[in-house]
Amino acid sequence: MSKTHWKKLVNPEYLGVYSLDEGKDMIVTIKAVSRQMVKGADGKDQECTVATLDGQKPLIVNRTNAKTIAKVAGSPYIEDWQGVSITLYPLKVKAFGDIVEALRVRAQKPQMPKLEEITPTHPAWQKCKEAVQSGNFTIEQIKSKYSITTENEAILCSK
Amino acid sequence: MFKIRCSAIGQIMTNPRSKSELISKTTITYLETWQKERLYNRYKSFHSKYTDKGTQQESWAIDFLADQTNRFLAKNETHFNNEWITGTPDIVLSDTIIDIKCSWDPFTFPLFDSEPDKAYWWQLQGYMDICDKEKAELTYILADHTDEEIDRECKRRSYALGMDGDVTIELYDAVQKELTYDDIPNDLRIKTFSFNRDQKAIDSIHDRVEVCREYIETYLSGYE
Repeated sequence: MSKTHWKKLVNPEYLGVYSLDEGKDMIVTIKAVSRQMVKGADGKDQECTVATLDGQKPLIVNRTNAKTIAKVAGSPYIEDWQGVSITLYPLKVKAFGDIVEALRVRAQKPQMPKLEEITPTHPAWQKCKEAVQSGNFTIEQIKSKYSITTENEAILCSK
Repeated sequence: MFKIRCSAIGQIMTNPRSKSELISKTTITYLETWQKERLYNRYKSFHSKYTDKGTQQESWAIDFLADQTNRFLAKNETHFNNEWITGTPDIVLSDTIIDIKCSWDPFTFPLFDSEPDKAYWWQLQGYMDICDKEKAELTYILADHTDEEIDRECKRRSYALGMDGDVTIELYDAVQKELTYDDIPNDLRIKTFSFNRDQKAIDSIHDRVEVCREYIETYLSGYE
């Protein structure tokens, strides 16, 4: 059974190391980046660069992570970071006189999860064939949910 | 040129209280907001925890409906419009429009209703018009709450219980059980209202849009 970090239950406003499942990376997609006032642990407001993410809490982007995101995105301009997917991972760093875990961005573009391949023996084959042949959906829409070989694509589209 | 969004058709199809009035107060408020958005170049965005759940769970809800009805379904990304109406239906089939609503909880899920909500009925009449379809399905899905909502509810209850925002495993488990519905049979999580195109109603939307245009021209256009 996987364990739950206690901080995951406290719901901080921003993504942190505690948001990651133990030992696992997290792939996120940036929706927008802006400067925002963020309340620090000492209760004081501080202006920070914040990335809003698809389906996740926002990420405070420090200098180190900003440099890495720029590398992954191929652009130093935050406007170009919209839609870019990045991989977050925990890294032990020396800070505040102690070794702590910090959230870091991997320098490589993330490997997106592979789509399930659909073949004539797949349980969803028949309904995909009906969807295409009825004209309700295009083969491109099928391919947005499944991967398919050229041969099987031809079979799926044939009457 | 004023065109009505399908999701707002219900707001302009309300009738005025007095016969001497051409359009209702609800419609006037809607048109004033529409005109202000253009004059100030600022858009009135509306979202709440209820609409957020719909947005965040939409993709899951489509997959759930596809699975339960044994069909392939995919989100429509095309924006449609005609001379009077504009909108983006959730799913477009060759003869049917499908729109999905995620209910907030079992108590807002219309399990026993026999008629669709009137505003949604108008919305789907609009979609059938702009997509030139004859049939519509309005489907309610009881989707799980998002992890973010579970976190928020945990925190809210923690403060209410005097726990200063700290969330125990027990509290988290209790909230998660309440806000997720894996234990509910699937047929209690889907409710579909099917209905046909009503050309008379669609014509009345076109007529009402024309009246709205006249109102904007007469009463709301002096500031451009």
